[in-house]
Amino acid sequence: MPMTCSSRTQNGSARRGRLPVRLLAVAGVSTLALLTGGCSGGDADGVKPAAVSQEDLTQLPEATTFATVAGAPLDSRPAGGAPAGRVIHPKADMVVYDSVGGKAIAKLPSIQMGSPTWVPVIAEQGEWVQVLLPTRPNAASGWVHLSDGAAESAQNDYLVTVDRATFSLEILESGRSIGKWTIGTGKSEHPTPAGRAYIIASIAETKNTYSPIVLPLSYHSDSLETFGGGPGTVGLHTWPNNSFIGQANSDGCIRVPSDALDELVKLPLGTIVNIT
Amino acid sequence: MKGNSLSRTKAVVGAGVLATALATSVLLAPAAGATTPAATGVNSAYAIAAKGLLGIDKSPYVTDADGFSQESLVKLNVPGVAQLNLLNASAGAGQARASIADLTVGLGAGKPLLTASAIESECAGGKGNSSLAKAKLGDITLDVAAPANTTVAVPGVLSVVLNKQVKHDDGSITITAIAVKIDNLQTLDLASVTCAPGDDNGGGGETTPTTSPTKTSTSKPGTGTSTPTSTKTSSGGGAGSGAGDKPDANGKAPRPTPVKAHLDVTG
Repeated sequence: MPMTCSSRTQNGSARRGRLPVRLLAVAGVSTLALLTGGCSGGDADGVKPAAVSQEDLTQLPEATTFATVAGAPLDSRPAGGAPAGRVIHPKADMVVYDSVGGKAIAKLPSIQMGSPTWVPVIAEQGEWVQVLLPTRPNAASGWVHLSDGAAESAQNDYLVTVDRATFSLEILESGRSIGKWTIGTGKSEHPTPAGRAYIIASIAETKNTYSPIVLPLSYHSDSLETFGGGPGTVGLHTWPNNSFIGQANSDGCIRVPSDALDELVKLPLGTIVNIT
Repeated sequence: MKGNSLSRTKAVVGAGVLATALATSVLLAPAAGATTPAATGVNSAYAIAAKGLLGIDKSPYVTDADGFSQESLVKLNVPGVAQLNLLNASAGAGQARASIADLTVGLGAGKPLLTASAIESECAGGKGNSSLAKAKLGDITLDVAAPANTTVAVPGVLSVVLNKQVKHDDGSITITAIAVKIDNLQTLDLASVTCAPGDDNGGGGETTPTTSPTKTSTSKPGTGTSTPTSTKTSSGGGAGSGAGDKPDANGKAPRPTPVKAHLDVTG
């Protein structure tokens, strides 16, 4: 990773000194224009994020389930990566970069469908962490710079594994199984995608009646660009009858028995769901 | 480098184009649009609306009257008049956002009336702001962060208000990134949000106050049972984020609280 000693400067247009209403929890926005000329040598941990102007921010896509982030680095270990670990919650919009010290590609808001945003950390480098994003494409990730107070950080001991071939879902806490159920998955025309997804929000569903709570995942259908009024988000939820059990007949969602849902809704947001 | 300041009342090339294009009445009522006015105390957002010979229902339009709501349109094309991409609107958790990427208004012969690479409005707790990226009104480059209610007057035909902010009697506020008016004829509003007034304590929503002050306390020897501090809500956290936005007392990720919302997942 190249060391960026020099400066990425602000663009030349005069700021009127107004700070945006939303607190941008990123060093290098608006008032922090230039890095100082002297560089402290070869310490990669000190790489500062590129300055992002308000104009740049306005153009960055907001990282939600509705977005597609172009140029997002993909999760390099989508098949069985870190089982559990750290999750972070941005307190306000956080700029997401394509690499440590790289180019801004998105802004991660503090809420996802009304739930507080929690994203899983899959790599760390000094003050930078690589997180999975709730956007398309599947396995999209990005790097955020954790300046002081920018985000909450927490430990998550839970992991969900889904094995499509055996129609099974298991919840693990610190590596120990705390429950296993037979579930349903997507039909062959609209399969549940494989990968290292995570739970992005907890929705007390107000319109659809098939499940009182829906847990949307970070992954989207590969075969459906949209579904109903949504962007093709794959979800975890239950179903009003048992037609799903051990069957591949959904449009992509993972359908679980209601007692499985009772346990899944307890899991922290940002919990990884490994789908194989 | 501001050769074209907003205070100049310079005629904007292309003003006549929009007026000409509006000669034929066009009415768009996308399926996702809602027409009921927002109830008191709700937050709402829409990316575009137009009234007059050219009518466009608020699109997409969301309110949080029934929980968090978000909608997105890949594009909206009004032939001969406007082309917009990535229209987004979300409302809930005490806030609202609306945005459009890559818009062109006033298509037809000659230079477009209005172009921008992105515009966005947002509000929370009775306050908010909007910003414009690479926006131009004719030849005039518009400021990214115009002060509230910056007007650009075009003699005879148009007025344009940037970062239009209207405070309502009930304390709610409506912020519109760009509000175009053709006198007595036509209005066009781009990226508009409305937020209910904030709580007095500055927090969002119906959260209960934290159960303990933020001071650090050392345990006293000989104390009997001491219940751990449980922070149910955020104090000073993001607007409307409420419970579940901090680690628990042991540094573990919190158990989430389901939030009333609607999202069509793939079933």
